[in-house]
Amino acid sequence: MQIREYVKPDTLEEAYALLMKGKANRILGGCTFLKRTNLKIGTAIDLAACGLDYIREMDTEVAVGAYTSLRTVETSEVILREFGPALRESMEHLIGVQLRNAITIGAHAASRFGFSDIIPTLLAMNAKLRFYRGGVKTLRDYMEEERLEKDILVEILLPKEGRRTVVQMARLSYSDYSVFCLAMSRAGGNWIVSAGAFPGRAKLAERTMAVMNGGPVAREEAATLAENIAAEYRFGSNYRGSAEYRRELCRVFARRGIEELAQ
Amino acid sequence: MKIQVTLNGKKQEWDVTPNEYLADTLRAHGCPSVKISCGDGACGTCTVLLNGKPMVSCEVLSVRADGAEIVTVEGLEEEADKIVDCLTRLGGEGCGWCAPGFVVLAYALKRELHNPTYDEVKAYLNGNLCRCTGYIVRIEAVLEYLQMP
Ligand SMILES: Cc1cc2nc3c(=O)[nH]c(=O)nc-3n(C[C@H](O)[C@H](O)[C@H](O)COP(=O)(O)OP(=O)(O)OC[C@H]3O[C@@H](n4cnc5c(N)ncnc54)[C@H](O)[C@@H]3O)c2cc1C
Ligand code: FES
Ligand code: FES
Repeated sequence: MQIREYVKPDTLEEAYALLMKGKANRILGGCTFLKRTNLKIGTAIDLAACGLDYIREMDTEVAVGAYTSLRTVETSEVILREFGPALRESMEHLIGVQLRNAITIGAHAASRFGFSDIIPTLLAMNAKLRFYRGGVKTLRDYMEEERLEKDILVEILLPKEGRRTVVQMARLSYSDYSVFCLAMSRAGGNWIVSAGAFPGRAKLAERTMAVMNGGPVAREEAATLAENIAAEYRFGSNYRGSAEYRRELCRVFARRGIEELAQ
Repeated sequence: MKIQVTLNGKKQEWDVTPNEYLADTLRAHGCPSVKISCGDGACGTCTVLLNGKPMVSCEVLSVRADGAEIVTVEGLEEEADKIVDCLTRLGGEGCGWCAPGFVVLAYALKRELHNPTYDEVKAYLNGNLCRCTGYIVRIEAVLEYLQMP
């Protein structure tokens, strides 16, 4: 990236006005992705002074400010207590503490990265996103949007639904990008199944979820349901793995996830 | 742009451009310990403490350090000696290229984790690559360093 002008506004109002002022204006997260792009940025808008670095526990949800680092999220006791270790597990392979201190969770989620393990996990946690202009929407809807409006992600909302979430990933070496990621959760009779890095933007296995949410799921059905989940994704091949390998990973991860959560 | 930083305890004013990264700026301001290897956030040789947190300085725009406290190995003399002592005694030293980033990270670990397990130390050190020594002795050296007062 090449920056013409750097600005650090004190309020979101100011940041949004700057963002809308020019086509080439951009919000900065930790810049770890932007740095790798060829973007010519007009005004680079640093959110550091806008107060978006927080994890706040409320009665029905936990709000994570968009400028919160991955490291803060993975070490949060509130998140661990309320939602278990899945979100931490989805990010702890990302290189090292020193990089995760730089990356912001809002930038990661807003970017809808097709290689992410974090986004499928947030999907399984039934996360919502609050945008400055667009208000609150589910991450699920955001992932499906065809054209994204210019906006600022303010916070990620994690509903306290008593959901148990598990995430399974396969990678060729400890810190590499995933070959495939499957996240699954259950709150009572409600299941969410999402996959990412297949490779492609994370999405839910909607048809099989409808079946699973239509009645009780027995452990014995795990293999059949896992087969149906794998049939919902169009897997691709790249140097990390073939489509067939990813399909097999999906079948195995989905079966294991259902067996674990159906108990 | 003019920015103010506290570098290894001393206040400084720097003139930086919006496209400059902290690793380069630090090297230009008397901190040759900050090594740039991948320049890509992946290897950890450029690790410094930024407001107390270990950070890959090759990924941080220098303008964003305005008002920050920065610590490099140059500012960690006594602790650096202890870490290097553990490394050399256990055979964890090599060419030394990765050492400044490693020392800063090991120091950050000591401040951040209380009574960490072997696996926690291993996971914390994951972001610092070394071509020479192998990793097991480095983990053992840090475990020894953690026992020191
Ligand atoms: C060495 C290395 C290894 C990596 N390995 C992995 C890996 O294994 N798995 C993985 O998933 N990822 C990996 N990544 C990618 C990493 O996840 C992204 O670089 C990171 O998430 C980007 O976050 P950031 O805060 O640096 O965002 P930035 O680079 O600052 O921004 C990214 C985008 O988000 C926009 N943005 C920022 N904040 C907001 C906001 N509040 N609202 C709306 N838009 C916003 C920016 O304008 C930009 O378009 C790796 C990156 C590096 C450098
Ligand atoms: S030089 Fe900064 S992480 Fe490699
Ligand atoms: S000692 Fe040579 S790279 Fe680590």
